[in-house]
Amino acid sequence: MDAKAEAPRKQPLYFINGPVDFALVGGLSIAIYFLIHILYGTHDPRLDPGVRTATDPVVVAAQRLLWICNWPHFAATSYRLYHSRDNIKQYPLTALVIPWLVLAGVFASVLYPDTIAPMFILTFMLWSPYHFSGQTVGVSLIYARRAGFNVGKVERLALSTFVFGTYLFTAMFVHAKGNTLPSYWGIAVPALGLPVWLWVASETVMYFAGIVLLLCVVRWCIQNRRVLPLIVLLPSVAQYCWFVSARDWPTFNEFVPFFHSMQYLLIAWSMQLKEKLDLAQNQPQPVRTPFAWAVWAGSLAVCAWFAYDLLPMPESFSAPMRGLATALVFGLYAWASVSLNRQKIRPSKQYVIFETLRWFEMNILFGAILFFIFPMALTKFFGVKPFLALGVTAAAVQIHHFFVDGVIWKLKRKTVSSPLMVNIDDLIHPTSDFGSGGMPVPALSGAGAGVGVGSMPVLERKA
Amino acid sequence: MKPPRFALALIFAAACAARFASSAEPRIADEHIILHTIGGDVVLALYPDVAPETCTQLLKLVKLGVYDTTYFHRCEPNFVLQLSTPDFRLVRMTDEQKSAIHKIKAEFSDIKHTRGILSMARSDGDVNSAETSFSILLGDAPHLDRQYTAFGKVEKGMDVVDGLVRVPRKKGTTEPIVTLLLGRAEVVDAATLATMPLRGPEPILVPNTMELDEGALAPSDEGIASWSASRRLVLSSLALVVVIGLIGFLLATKISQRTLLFVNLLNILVGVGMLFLLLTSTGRSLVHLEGGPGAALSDILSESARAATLGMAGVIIVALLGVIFTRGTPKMLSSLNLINVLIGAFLMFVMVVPVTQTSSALAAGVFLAVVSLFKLMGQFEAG
Repeated sequence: MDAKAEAPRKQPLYFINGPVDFALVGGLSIAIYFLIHILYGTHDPRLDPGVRTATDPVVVAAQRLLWICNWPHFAATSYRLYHSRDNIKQYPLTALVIPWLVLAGVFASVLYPDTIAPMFILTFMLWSPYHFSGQTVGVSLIYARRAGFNVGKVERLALSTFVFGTYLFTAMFVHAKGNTLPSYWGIAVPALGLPVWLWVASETVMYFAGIVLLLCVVRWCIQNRRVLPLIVLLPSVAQYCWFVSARDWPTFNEFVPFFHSMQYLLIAWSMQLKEKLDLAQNQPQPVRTPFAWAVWAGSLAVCAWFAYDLLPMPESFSAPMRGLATALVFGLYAWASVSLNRQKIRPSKQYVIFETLRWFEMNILFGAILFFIFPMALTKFFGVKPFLALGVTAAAVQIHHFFVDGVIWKLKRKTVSSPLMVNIDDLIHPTSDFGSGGMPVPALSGAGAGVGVGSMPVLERKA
Repeated sequence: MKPPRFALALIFAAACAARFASSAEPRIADEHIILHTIGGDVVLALYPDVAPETCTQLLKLVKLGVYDTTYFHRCEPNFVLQLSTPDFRLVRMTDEQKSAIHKIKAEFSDIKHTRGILSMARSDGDVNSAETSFSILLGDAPHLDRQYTAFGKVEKGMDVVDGLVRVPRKKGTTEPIVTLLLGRAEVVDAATLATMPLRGPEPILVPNTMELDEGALAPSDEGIASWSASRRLVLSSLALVVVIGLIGFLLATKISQRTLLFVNLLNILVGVGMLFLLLTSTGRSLVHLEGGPGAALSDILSESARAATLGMAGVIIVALLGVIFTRGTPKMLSSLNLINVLIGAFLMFVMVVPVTQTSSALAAGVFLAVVSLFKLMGQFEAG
């Protein structure tokens, strides 16, 4: 095990700054855990009729956050793979074959709702927390690298075992013999019926790995005479909170996908902004794929529909007034969208703000297409029952996400320097080596390198 | 000597009064209990004058959330639908909830155990052992009269109860094959109830096995050991697809292109063989069961067998791609084989999961295989 510190570190620790990074990679989730605990005690407010009035805002808030955080994070993954021909060429099977495989799953689930749909959804339910764990390990390793904490074999093994131990613990708890699963959009999903001793064994392994990890950290701190930044361990602690402390707490669990998505969006956002800068330097006229055009056109269509159907308008509005208001909102959106696309791509505050707005706006709308429009279309055009369509679509989009996420972080471009090491200062202040890959280029090895599919990249130093 | 007419009239009047008194409905409490079940909402009315202690205790338990995430574990058509005790509910009870549970004294009455009546469950040897579990009567059960505490009736939602009862049960038991979940129970007063929208009855989706045999269409609880030769043959074929795919995936970079071509051809062979099995012999065996001679193929094959057919078609297509792109990169060829592993493994998953509850070892094996496959997916399209 090599636990030596690296040479004096120039690499900024945070993507944005301490408080924001802390909040996004897990701090906020832990704070909310304690907040809900303080507000509701040990009761689950959703299950306690005495405080039902306080429950509704929690559930409503979690549902709203789906739109602005969880769904966009799925959209961001697809956007990252499909918006460039270069990316598609690197992973043709993932980009061009897997969607058909997943669509076949949707097709089979809709045709055989009693046989295939429950298993399709069970697959997603088992895979989802595994995917969360992969990301947690990846994010921890990114911060470890940024903090100069050299992750050797033992540290990596301890970290992975602890994090995946929390996954095994919660999965084995949920699927323990005699347990039942809540239905998913009305679709009854069977539990596996695992022996209870497996659950106990996974708990033991998890805590043992946690102790080993802590010992490694202590040893590193003593050897290097400095304290390891807490953010390196924060994702793992947060996951422990999600999967172990709050494993049977439905109200808190409503938020877990949101917390996972926040982690993801922080990294994906940084990469998007940095990659775009680097690409603009090397390739001033980016070539848009048909997918990118389709997403843009789709987002315009969704906005038009939102404006027409969902905008709260006074009942006294006549049809022409309603049409005028719709046209106004749609026009504003189209203008903003075109304006954002015409921005100058060079490091500046304006670039960060506008590109962030453009990227989020597109992902929010594309997310709505995936999770809202797609099932609605299944219902409207193919007569699929609404709940079945919603459940199967949600499972399919997420399974596709797990596939894509397994390769997305392995994408390599010679023109891109090191977006995973970026700090917001690099995006705001022009530097002489802007776009030339001034920072050290890390080799990205994907999820397969010890942490499994669906993980963020594992950084390895080149020899 | 003739009895005086007025005496006869008195006897008749007394008999009528007694009859009227026994058939008159007891007073219903203002507070009602609503059970939000997987199949819709059921409204329970309570008889506080008949079983005061039982009603008070039940209202207290409902308000504390004791019944939330319990389920109906016993279903006997025309007899009872019984709620499980909260010890087995989905979410563990809090200390406060646990401490609120105690034994309730029997409160026997003249209320007849007829359809829709609520009756407390208890231990066989102890009439004062009722705690939380109660049954909804689905038909007349006079043998329960004055033996069990009747404390109320289903006021609305008997059609929801009937829907729950229609869910098939595990072979030879009274346990439904899916969890008839009671997500939440709540207490509402009559005024609120009058304006409250109620859910249901809603259809309950029942998972099916990949049943290829005559007989049960619902998952059996006998495990794989009892499966017929055809089901075991299908499972073995799928296992073969997975093994061949794994060989192709793991050895793609180490074996020659010719050997890899052979691996893909082998998978095509297995796929075609299984398609033949699914479309011919299995189909014929099901003609007798479902379709009758001359029925369309879609009618002949069971839902699960059709799903397997679709999956095997996918295996063949992917293996064909592997043959067509024999000169492709090892990364692509190995990943194509991994897709076949996925398809085969998913179909095995569909077949085996419905019986994993019968064997802990099988359940553990399935879970570990699934996690291993997730891990393996990290190598998909890896360079």
